[in-house]
Amino acid sequence: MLLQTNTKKIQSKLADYCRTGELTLTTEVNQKHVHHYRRLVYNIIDDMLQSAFPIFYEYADTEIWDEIVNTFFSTHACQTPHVWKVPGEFYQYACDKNLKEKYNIPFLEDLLLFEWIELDIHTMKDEEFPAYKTKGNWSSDVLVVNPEYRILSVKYPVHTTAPINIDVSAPGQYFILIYREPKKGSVQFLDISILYALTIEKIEEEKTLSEIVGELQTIFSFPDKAFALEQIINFCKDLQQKDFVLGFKK
Amino acid sequence: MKSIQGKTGIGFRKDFAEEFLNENILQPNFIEVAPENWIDMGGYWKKIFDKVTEQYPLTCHGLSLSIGSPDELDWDFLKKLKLFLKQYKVRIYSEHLSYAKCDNAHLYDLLPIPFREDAVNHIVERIKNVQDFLEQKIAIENVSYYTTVAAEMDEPTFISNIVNGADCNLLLDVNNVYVNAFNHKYDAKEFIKKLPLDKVAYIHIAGHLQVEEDLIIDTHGENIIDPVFDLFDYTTRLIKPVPVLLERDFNFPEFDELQGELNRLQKICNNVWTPKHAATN
Repeated sequence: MLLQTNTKKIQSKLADYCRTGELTLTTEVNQKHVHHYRRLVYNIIDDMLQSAFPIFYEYADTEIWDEIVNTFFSTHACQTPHVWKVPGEFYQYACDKNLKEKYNIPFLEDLLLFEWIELDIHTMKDEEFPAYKTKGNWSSDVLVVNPEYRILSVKYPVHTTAPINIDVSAPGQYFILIYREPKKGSVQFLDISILYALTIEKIEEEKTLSEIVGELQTIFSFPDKAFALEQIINFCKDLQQKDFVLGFKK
Repeated sequence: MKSIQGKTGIGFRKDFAEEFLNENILQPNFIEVAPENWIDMGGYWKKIFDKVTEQYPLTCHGLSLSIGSPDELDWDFLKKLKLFLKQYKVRIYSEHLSYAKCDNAHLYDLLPIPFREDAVNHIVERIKNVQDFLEQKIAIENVSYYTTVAAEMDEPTFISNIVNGADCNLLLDVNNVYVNAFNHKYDAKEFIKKLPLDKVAYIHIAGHLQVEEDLIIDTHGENIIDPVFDLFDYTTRLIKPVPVLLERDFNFPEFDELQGELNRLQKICNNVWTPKHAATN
């Protein structure tokens, strides 16, 4: 290392000031103007998080938002060289620090996850789409799905209900299918039941819908298996219209 | 491959991407992007990026390499960067003479480096390593700064020693010279004359904002002012033809206004560079 300890220390103190707002440099910098660095750096992070989490930003009191962002930036060392990926680190930070309890917002992690994944799916690297045929048998052929998706499991209906209307005393189990529409690249999300979440999981295991109904029988005890199969087929046909189910395995 | 020497380009921004592709009002000779904003990007934005890079030559101006950082270079990032530069046939890769990462934390903005001998040696070594790895020369940009930091030498000496020591190119940001000359009370033209002008491979120019009586911030959010156009004209007379990039990051005017700025820059380039070089070629 050619850099001397003193120079390194000065650089570290300036960077630390930008992250925390606490200036420990004295004669080394222009005291009148150095605050612009803290302002500019902080604004980049604050703007990025505001645009990534618009629902939470709108819901949170300004004081709480500022405290969370300030503490995040001053205590968390951002690892990604891509500023647009910082919201993913922010979500993880909120989970690690258990901010939902600290600020008494039980649905906080669910909401941040939902907002982050929407962004993440929109920008994620292109996946290779598997080969498929457009015609086939819905019950006995393996279906092929769009690989650019995530299924989220959340306790609060953050995808359908405004935060202010969420009943925090009644957590449940909700599943959200979030995927990227292949032609335009726009993100779609659907509220789905646990039955359909498991169906998609098993489609990925290359099982036919007929086999899937058979396996799920042990969990759901369908009174009428043929009717259950029909319902699942209809669900998959709808997903084909929505560009999630692509077709049938070749 | 069409030459971009002596030609004007514009920073390509997501804010105006669709309009840019759908209309023919803004017609740069090349575009520039920050690679960090496009590496690893898929979906809608990748489609847009692929489309625009099929139509325009591309240069890249990095944000996260943090060449002046006390931290280790990020080799994982450099590997991705190398692939990206190759994939999109990037004509010039430049970075800021600043640091944006320290103590293992990214800051996503450009902090001023102490103008010191040990910093020069440290940065020279890092630029050499980066150039060796990328197998190409990079251009280093003089940045605007709002405070010196424990400086032990003047800025032109700092820049010159780095550019000459590393044998890299210089991205001369004319607006940054103007901003720094105002903020730190020196003569902009004298400053430019002291730089290694034979190493200039790229020029940046932009608008700025005066926020205090004695401070200008390099915002890239305003139109270029006349004194900066004049300084650009002065600079072009001292160097060989290079690509010239108009930076506009927000507060976007109508495209015809941006095109007007590009036209004015191109006119200066043509006046100064074309006759002289046409005569010698």
